[in-house]
Amino acid sequence: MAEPAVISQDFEPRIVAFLCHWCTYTGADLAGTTRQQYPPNVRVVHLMCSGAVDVVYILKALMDGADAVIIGGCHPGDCHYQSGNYKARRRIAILRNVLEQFGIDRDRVMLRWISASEGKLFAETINEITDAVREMGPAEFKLGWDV
Amino acid sequence: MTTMVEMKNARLATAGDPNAAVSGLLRALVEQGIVEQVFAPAVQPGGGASLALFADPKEFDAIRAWTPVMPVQGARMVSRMAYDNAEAKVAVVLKPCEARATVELIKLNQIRPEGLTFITVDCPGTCEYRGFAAAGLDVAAQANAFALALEGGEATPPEGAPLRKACAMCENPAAAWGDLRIQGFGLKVGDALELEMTGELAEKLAGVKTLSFEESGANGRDGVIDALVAKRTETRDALFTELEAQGLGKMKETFATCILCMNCMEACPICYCKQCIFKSPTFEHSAGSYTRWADRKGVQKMPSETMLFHLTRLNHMASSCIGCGLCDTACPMDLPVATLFRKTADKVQKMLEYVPGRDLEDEIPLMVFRENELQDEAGAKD
Repeated sequence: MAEPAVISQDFEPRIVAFLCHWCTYTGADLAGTTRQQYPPNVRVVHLMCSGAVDVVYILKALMDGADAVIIGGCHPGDCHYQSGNYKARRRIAILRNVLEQFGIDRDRVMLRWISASEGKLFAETINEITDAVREMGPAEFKLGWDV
Repeated sequence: MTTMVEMKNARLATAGDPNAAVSGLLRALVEQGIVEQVFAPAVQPGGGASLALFADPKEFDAIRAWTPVMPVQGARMVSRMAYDNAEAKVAVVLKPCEARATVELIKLNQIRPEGLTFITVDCPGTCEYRGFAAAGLDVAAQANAFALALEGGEATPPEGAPLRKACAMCENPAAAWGDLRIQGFGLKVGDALELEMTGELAEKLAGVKTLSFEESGANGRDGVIDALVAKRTETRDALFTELEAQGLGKMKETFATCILCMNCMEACPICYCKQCIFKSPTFEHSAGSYTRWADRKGVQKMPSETMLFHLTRLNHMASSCIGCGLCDTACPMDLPVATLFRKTADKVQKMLEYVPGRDLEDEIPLMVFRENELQDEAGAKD
């Protein structure tokens, strides 16, 4: 059974990462095989394309315990389905706008382009994001029972 | 149908009854063989207002192009009868917000426009149905007062039945799209309405007695529309400012009484999915899920996931929200959904440089992209 979400001094962010099969997931793999160090706060969900991420996945994660969600896709122009990443960018931009209207920090949702050869960038990104979320504190959503 | 078509002007004599004049015009459309059926707002036998699809011209007396209430979004009903090729040619009478929703639904492949003749009317606003019914008001008795009010701009709502909030902040009240646009703003509506129609329609309607095709010289329309839009924009901005910078706490308060009836979704013309994920097995959680959630958070609100529903829906429809406010009308708990959705949609649409319902040529934002846009949304550093 999951731990109750409480604010404590040693808050460790939980980050859910939706990664595309062709680029960022493979980049994460490379980070592992090349022994890049990055914090264990990130839980990876493997999808075929960043364009396959519906906002409901992200929102559900935020409400059920994630402090932040990162979506990883191929660099612009590199999508293996031609335009999935561009469409993801529009959807994520809309989501970040909507979250802001609802009083939630838009940076709880982050979209990043990381290719299959950028294992180092993947590790750096996770490091950077984990620090940023640690700074933000626990997500307001997961704390409330009234959402 | 697009704005590119050259439009012809005409005047429709009303003899004090603009609704009857429009019904007569619709009858002429059928008589001239332009259409076989008419979809329009109507007075029901019991006195209530609804939308109806008329095949028998003898029944056209029930048509009221201007109804004082708007219980259903016309575009949603059009998509029921025309999601595939309708078998009959149909004239469709729409208020401007219904026309905008229709444009969106055509682009979303939910309405096949072939065979449809779109007729739009200048709109003086509509009352919230519940207030209207509670005040014992009669749709038929009020319909012409609303039509005649176009001369001054907005309708003066009858006692006890204020205008719908969405109407009070509507900045697009004029008939701006369609094959035939019926204009009344700033005109002596009791004498005549102005029409703008495609050349093709003008040719076929040339013999209709109530129509005259010479220039009217009337010039009050733009001024009335400008004043109305200025007033409405002010109302809108005031309502938006109220919602500005409300934190999550306030948002949760707002949605605290949501009963997850999903009426807002059912009423919304843009929420067109045949199977909503929230009504699918994905959200039929195991019984144990609830107890686990309660365990983790200490308490679990039931019905659960109300905020998730609204946030997800908002994400799906914000880019195309045309601000008809039928979600407000449909909400049994009186949540200020229309204002909140419109405000959020407004920001999203500005970001995407998209004006929903304006033109069939503007591409739906979620289907297209530009290569070099929104780079900061993907973590680009300034």
